[in-house]
Amino acid sequence: MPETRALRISGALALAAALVALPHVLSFSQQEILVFLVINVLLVMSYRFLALTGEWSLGHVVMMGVGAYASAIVSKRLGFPVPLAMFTGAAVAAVVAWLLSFPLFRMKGFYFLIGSFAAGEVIRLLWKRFRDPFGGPKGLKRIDELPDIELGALQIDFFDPVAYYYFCLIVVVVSLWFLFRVERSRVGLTFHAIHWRDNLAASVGVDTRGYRTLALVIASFFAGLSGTLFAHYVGAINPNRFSVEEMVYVLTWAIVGGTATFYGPILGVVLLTALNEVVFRELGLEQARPLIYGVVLIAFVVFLPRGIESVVPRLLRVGGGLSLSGGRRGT
Amino acid sequence: MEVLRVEGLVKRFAGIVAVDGLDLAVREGEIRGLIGPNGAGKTTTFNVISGLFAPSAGRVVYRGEDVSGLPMHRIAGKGLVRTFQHSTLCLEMRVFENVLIGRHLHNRSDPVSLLFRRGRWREAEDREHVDEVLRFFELETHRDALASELPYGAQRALGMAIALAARPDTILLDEPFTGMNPEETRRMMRLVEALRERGITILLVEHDMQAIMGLCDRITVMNFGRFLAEGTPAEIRADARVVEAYLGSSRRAS
Ligand SMILES: Nc1ncnc2c1ncn2[C@@H]1O[C@H](COP(=O)(O)OP(=O)(O)O)[C@@H](O)[C@H]1O
Ligand SMILES: [Mg+2]
Repeated sequence: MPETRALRISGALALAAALVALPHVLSFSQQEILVFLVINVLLVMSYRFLALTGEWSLGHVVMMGVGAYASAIVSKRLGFPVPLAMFTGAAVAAVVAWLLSFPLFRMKGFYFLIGSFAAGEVIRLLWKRFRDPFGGPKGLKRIDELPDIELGALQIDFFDPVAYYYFCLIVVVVSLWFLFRVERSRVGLTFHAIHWRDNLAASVGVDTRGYRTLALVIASFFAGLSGTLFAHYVGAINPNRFSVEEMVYVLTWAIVGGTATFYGPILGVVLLTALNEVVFRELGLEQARPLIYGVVLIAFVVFLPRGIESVVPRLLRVGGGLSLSGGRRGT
Repeated sequence: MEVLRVEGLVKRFAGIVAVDGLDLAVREGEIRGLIGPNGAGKTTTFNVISGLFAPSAGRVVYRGEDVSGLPMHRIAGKGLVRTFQHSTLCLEMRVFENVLIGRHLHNRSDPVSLLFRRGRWREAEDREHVDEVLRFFELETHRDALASELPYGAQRALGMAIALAARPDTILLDEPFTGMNPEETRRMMRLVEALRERGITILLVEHDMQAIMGLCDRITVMNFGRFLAEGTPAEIRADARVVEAYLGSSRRAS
């Protein structure tokens, strides 16, 4: 047992070192992609959190947008400092999700899916319709960036993708830690019970609607947070950035990686981003991204519906078996 | 003292009347049987009492309080808990996790310990209660198995274990002995008897006539959603209308 513990700790340290070193082996444009990747990890993980209760939403990317718009507006209009604006943006996304839960959780399954899509489109229409304060179809520009930090000799300029990557990494790691702890707690158990047998849960006193709402609110908070990270880095947002096409990407990451394990969606978004940026960009196919994602999505639904995570244990067993037999030969 | 009263209960579904003006009064601490041919409306009666469905008409009164139409979790919170006719378990979870779900109402803990205490649902109190419930239903050897791996009889027992973990004062059991062999049925009958000795009032729907006759203090018979008869097991056995209802139904079925 202590050996597996030591193994785990050294694994975590190696991963941390790799994450810190990673941007330094990349080109500038790759560093920018890395920033978006980290933001997308938070987005897809917050989506998985909602899926714990068994509900799949089509409005999640719009919740990301609610965070982005709210954060941009309070920093531009009300002069909130950017870190506070970010927190406010995430909180606004959570409140909007709470309000939407009243109509949406009259529905379940397929109807919830359609309802969440409609709710998202209504929000996007509001952004387009009201030039003030949302900027209309062109959206908002010149959103404040994170202020530079000067600590004596140390100067951090968050315009630099490497610095912003580290900032996002910290925010995302803390967020994922929170989501992980909630999932492993009694609340997470209740989410699972609602997913598999909501009548059983209700029969022993679980307010299933209340817990569904809780999952939606927490998931939307972190989706909103990912939106604020995006907005203050890019500096411009518009309604199309949060369209259903983006939602299909999130769905694809989640389905390709799988949602049963905590790491599944991370695998999905990392592998697909790598595929997209390394292979398709080389081949000049990145314009075809929606098409390719669509094909990948269908292929996984048909051939590997439980995602890459479902074959990982098998791969590990093959690897572990080899190292075990190697060990035996040594003794 | 009367704990549960059902007055003029009606439940209609599109086109059919599943329960049609049922009256029923259950006394504290009794084991009450609810029997009737297939389709008589027993499960629907449970569904309405437990809050899964709102009644179309009539009232459900629990401990003097009108609970008609309250959602199921609120009624469970008042101490009235039901089990399901068809095994309803989280098959993907371990046996002890299923029982933990049953402890939902009794596990209020603060958000801080929720986040910072490792595996905090394995607190001593939780663990003791879960293990006690598992021992009661003779499931302790299956504690860490997936619910889906249990034999059918043990799955039925787990359904009751989840309900018991909620510490009910009244429990509605919907055909708890189906799919059990005679030996398992005898064992479960002893356990149901033991539940009553703990002071739990029991309303029991069951097709196994031997079990019903052996366990119940009184029996209510339904037919076509209506009250047909009520009495002690001996009275019910001797009641010509009851015999006729069952014969009629088997004649219809064949
Ligand atoms: N959810 C439902 N929707 C429509 N009809 C139902 C529903 N539940 C039960 N019924 C009908 O109500 C009648 C009584 O069923 P039920 O209460 O399950 O009988 P029992 O448990 O006594 O066998 C049956 O005719 C059944 O088909
Ligand atoms: Mg039934």
